[in-house]
Amino acid sequence: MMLLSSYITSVLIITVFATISSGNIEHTVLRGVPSSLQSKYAQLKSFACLDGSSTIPFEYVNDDYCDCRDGSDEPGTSACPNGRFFCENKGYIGTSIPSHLVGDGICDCCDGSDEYETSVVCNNTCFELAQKSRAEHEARRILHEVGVAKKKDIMVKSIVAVSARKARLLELEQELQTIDNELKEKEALKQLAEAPESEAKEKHQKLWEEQRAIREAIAHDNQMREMFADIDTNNDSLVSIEELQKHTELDTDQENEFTVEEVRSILGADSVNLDEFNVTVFEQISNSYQKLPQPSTEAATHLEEVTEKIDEALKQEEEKKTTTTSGTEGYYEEDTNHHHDDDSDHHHHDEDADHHHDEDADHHHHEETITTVATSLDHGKHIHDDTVPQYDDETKKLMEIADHARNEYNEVERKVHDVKRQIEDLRKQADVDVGSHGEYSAFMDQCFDYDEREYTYRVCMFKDAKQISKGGGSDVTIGYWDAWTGPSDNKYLKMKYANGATCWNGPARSLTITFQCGVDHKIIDVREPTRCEYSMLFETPSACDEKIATTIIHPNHEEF
Amino acid sequence: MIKYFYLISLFLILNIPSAVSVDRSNFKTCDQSSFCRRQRKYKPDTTPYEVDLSSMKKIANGHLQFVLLNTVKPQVKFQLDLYTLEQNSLRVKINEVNPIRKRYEVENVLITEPKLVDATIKKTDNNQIEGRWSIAAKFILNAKPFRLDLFTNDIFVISVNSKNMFNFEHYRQKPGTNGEAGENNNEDNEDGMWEETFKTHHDSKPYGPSSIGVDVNFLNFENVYGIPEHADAFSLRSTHDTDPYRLFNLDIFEYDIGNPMALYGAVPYMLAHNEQATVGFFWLNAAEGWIDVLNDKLNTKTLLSSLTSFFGTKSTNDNSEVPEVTTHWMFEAGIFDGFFFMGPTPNDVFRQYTTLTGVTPTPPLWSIAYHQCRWNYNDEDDVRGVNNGFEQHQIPVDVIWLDIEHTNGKRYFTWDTSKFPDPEKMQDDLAAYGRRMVTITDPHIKKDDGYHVYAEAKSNGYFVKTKDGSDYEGWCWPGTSMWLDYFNRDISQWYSQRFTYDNYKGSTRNLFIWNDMNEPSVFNGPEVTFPKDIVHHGGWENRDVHNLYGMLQHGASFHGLVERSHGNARPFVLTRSFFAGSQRTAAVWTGDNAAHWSHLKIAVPMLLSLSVTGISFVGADVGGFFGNPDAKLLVRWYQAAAFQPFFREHAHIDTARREPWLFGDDNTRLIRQAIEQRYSYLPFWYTLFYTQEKNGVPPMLPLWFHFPRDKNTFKTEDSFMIGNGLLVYPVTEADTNQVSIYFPGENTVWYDIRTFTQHNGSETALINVDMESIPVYQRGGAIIPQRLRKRRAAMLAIHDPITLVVALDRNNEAEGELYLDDGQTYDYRQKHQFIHRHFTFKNNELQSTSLDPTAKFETDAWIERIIIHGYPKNPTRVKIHSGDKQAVPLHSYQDTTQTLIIRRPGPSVTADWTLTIA
Repeated sequence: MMLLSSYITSVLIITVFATISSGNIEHTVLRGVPSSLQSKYAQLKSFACLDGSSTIPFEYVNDDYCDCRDGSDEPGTSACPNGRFFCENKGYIGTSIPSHLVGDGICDCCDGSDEYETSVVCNNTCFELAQKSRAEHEARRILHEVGVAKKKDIMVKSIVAVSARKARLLELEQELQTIDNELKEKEALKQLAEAPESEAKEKHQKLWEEQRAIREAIAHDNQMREMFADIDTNNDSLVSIEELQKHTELDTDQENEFTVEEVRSILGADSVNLDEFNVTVFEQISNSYQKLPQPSTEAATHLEEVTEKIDEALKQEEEKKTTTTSGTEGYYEEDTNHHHDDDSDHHHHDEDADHHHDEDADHHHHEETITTVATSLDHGKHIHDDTVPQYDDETKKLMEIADHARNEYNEVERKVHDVKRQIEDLRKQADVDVGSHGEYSAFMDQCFDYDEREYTYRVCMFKDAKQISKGGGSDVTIGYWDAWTGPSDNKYLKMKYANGATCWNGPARSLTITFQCGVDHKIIDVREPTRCEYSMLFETPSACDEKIATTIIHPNHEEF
Repeated sequence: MIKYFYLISLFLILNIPSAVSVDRSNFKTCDQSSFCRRQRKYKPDTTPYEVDLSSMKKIANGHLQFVLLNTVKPQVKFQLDLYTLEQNSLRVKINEVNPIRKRYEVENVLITEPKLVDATIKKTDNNQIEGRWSIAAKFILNAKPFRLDLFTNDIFVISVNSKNMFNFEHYRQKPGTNGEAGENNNEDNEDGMWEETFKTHHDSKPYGPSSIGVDVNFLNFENVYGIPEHADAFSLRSTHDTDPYRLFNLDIFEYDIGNPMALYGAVPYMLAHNEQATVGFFWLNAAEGWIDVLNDKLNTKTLLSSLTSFFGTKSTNDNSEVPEVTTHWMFEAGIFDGFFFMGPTPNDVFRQYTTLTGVTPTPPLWSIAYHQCRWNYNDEDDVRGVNNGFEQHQIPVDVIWLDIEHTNGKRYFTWDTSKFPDPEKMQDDLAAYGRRMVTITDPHIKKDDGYHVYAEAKSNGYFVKTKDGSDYEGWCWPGTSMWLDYFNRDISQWYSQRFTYDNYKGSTRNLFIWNDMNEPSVFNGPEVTFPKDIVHHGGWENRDVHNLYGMLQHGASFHGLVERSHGNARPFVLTRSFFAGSQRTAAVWTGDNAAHWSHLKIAVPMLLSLSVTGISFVGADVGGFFGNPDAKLLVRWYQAAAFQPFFREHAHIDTARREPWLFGDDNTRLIRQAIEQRYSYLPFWYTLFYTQEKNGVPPMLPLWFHFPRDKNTFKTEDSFMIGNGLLVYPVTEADTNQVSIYFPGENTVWYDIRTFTQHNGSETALINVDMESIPVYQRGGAIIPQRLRKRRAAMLAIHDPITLVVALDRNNEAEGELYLDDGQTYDYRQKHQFIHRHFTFKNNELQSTSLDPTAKFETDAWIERIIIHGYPKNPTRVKIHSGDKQAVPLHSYQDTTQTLIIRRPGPSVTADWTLTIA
């Protein structure tokens, strides 16, 4: 005790001038002294405190007053708060207890020697204790013996498993090398096949784009002509101010009248012919322009005429173009699905499996596309249709060849993935610390349950731990595999699962498992000593100790 | 302890946030309590109240009766009773004459009918009478206007109604009801008079307004103290800019510090202290109360003109100002029943108050040792593990506690048998180490026909009723619950009987009791407590009696434990809620504090406020209930609480474990040292508790108690005294290596108990501190008995030898006491089995004499060491005489600290002896 030691310090400066002690303590000098130290308590004139801090008259030893700073002058009394009392405990193990347990009315030594001065009657329980202790020791030894046998089995299995894993790893690594080479070959082949394919596709695309430009020009021209004819109500092939003035929708300031001046400023003259209309007027008015209400028959007739014209023009143009390029018929497909085009229109699907799938989808679209084109033309509308014509046979063939090369490549690549994954898994397994000699290898990929009143606790070793409510409700993860956390001399006595689900108003849950020797792998107890910090007691042969298994106490041995 | 954890759904309903501080909107402000609103604004220029002096009647020697009138409403008559009491005390009662409903007068608080002493009455003129009832005590009753002035040693100290705030709301008919119409419809129909609503809670107020306000003014005082419980300064703050201090027992979740909000208990008692006098005012009223405190200045000339005598001989003639503390007291119901304690010394005031309300009977020795608690120790293995932890780390402990989770579904007096299959064995196992157990029994009774306590209480009609007469139901830990009506003596006795070993299965003689949630806490009630209009025995509303409820429960628990042992063993009961008189049957703790440095610091003023109002066995949860203290805070808290009366570690269920050995070896050592220090001073603490039983002076005291003329101590709340022997300055700052300590008392010398360094009184010293330091100083002049031997539990040390630590004053004198008994039974009272020694050091002689020679106690305890601090030189010879025996013990002397240590002087503690130093 802090205070007393201060006082003791001051005692050391004393000049002893008197030796009368008024105490009436029975002087049993060697009381509480273990045999190993008895030589230090030889009856001499003085006693040297065991820490060497001072020397005191011998009669101060065990006189029920604390003189030495280390409490060594009072081995047999409670005078020194930091002293030690040795219980001989004949028939059992001699033990040293703190001095404050001496004479406190509670029997702490099995021989009762700590209560020599009190009225408490302590039965000598050393013999029974020794018997019990021997029995317990033997039971424990046997448990460890049985456990160690199992543990060794696990360790042997672990060695086998480790070498099997190593062999398998080697095998896989070799395989990987082989298929890696294969993959390179297939890649080269793929590239070889893809080059002409993409060239052909590009060509096809270019052609399509040109065709589309022509189509657009024709459509523009047709629209212009139609509009001209429409405005030219007197069919004199001139659009006059009067004719245009009827189209009040073209008046930019809607408040006033559509004046002659305003009309003239649009026409740029008093009247314009078709060419002039095309150059100066059409662009100006095409956005606001509306047809005047007309008798429908006339319009229909006119429309038919126009449609026929468009059709003819289109045919001519197509013939002209196809003969100038590859000379094959043009088939069109929808531009939006044409993923060899500009990549920005597409989500990247570099994975070949997806690639293939898309390719198939593209082919499916062809027929549909043709129908769409036809329909558009029938109605004389949608003249800006964006559909792309089908590939020609040659391109198709090139594509087929490329597809094949891609498929072959992908297949090998999948294999590489697979082997790599296997290698990774094996290496991960090899990385799991299953004990210094693989004694915990049996836990690999194992889960254990413990049933309690309200919950089942489930630990999946080296993975996670869960609390499963019996009354329904969702499982709660109480931790993910973290580390071995046992004491430094054997870290494999505890393991921790951390960062589980966070408690309401509290920390993330965690679990510490303490292992002890047992014949089987089994959860013995689960507690929550602090909210959200779980502790589990786990029996396993893996925690059995060979030293304990082999320390046999001779049954006739009197003392430990 | 608030345990909302399991009540998340309830949370949503109550809208209690999980934030770290109180949601104030759940509790009323003065403005939200209609009577407080009315009374607080009542400030007329002149009082309408007048005493009819001609009505004076002498009912008995020491009892005068007058008629008091409200001139604004002359039809309402009041009766004023003046009782001049022994010990310079005065009782003043004001009640309605023939009210339409009887007004509640508090029962169960005064221990006996106060003893009257006759007063010499003098009619000084037609408007005044003067009464003197002791040499020191005098009153002057002024008739028109009504005013009462009080003098101690002829010094004017207290004036009642000098600010005209006396305002008595008589019972009246509700305006618009049949029969007599209201007297004055406008005035009597103010908002909140006849019903009021707080949040969703409606108070039907069937009897209308009934509050009383009065101003009590302390003249020439600057400091007033008391009126717990508030987490606020010891010297009460001015409430000019805040609400008044509130007295209404409430379960405040995560209370804040530094405000006048009500807490768990209430003692409507205030003390005032200055260099000349200490006086007190106690208004015996159990209703909701609010008290404004204002630091004022008073012009003495104005005062003189209205008085025939002033300041006695020290009268001032100039036109100067004197300080004054004006206090305005407002209670919702009851009567005015004021006690004035005229001192004049602090000691006198403590005796005067405790003569009326009682003292704390000497607690069992183990209960003033160290307690280990937690919500919750989960099962029997957990309890054993904790006990083993103390053994393994050699840390003394006397009691291990079990919170609510030990019960079968919060059915008190039962056990969760899956976790506690053999509670008797568990207690026996603890007892084998000299240790005990405390379990919790809260006042809410789970509504469950299968629960025997409920079933019996229900069938007997033992529960508190609603205003409609049905059993009141509310929510608490067990869910729907009911509350016993302890106001009925039969019910209270029935509750006491629940503690017999037969009724409380699994309890043993080593099991003691903790009453929590007894404000009472009702999760779905207004302000988390009973509605005001529920009805107790005798027809009294909760409005009339609210603040008594907790005390009635812990009183019944106490008596149950007494009866359990057939009157032999001293009980121990801890309570959270309390009232004036709670000290007689329970220890009190400051409830659900938090693991903050500020909460460590506020513990001192809170415990001092309780101590000076008679609640002497008090403590705060070590470490703070809510939250996780870091190691530093926890160590400092242990160090502080080791020197406070009730010493218990306790923690909320959501906190991390914090048993003393969980913070590394260094901190374990520091905590062990603090606890060991507590145990080493237990003989001193025990002696102080015994002397407290005799004279009402609590063990923990403000510095001014022993240094009443040292003005520097009047606001001190960072340090305190234990008895008259130790000054304690707990370190309450996280990172500090120096503290500034004021040592009180001119010509006083103080000795550092660790280094023996001396410090002069009337000086402030900068003291270096490290984590080992607990700045504690022994007063020169004090002799303190200690046990420097260690034991694992206090009861195992009762026959261990004693060390006397003599700290000499400037005259080389000192004195002290030692009280010893068996530590746990009533034999000290019934069989006079104790020793009470008096030690004096004078003229180089230390003498031990008996303070009660008829007392006897068998013990082997002897004096093993005498340490004398401040002895000027190394003596040549020390002799000791005891009867016809003589001895010459050895001694040692340390020049640097002037410390003389006498080795094994040897006499029995029971013997008379004289030690002579030459």
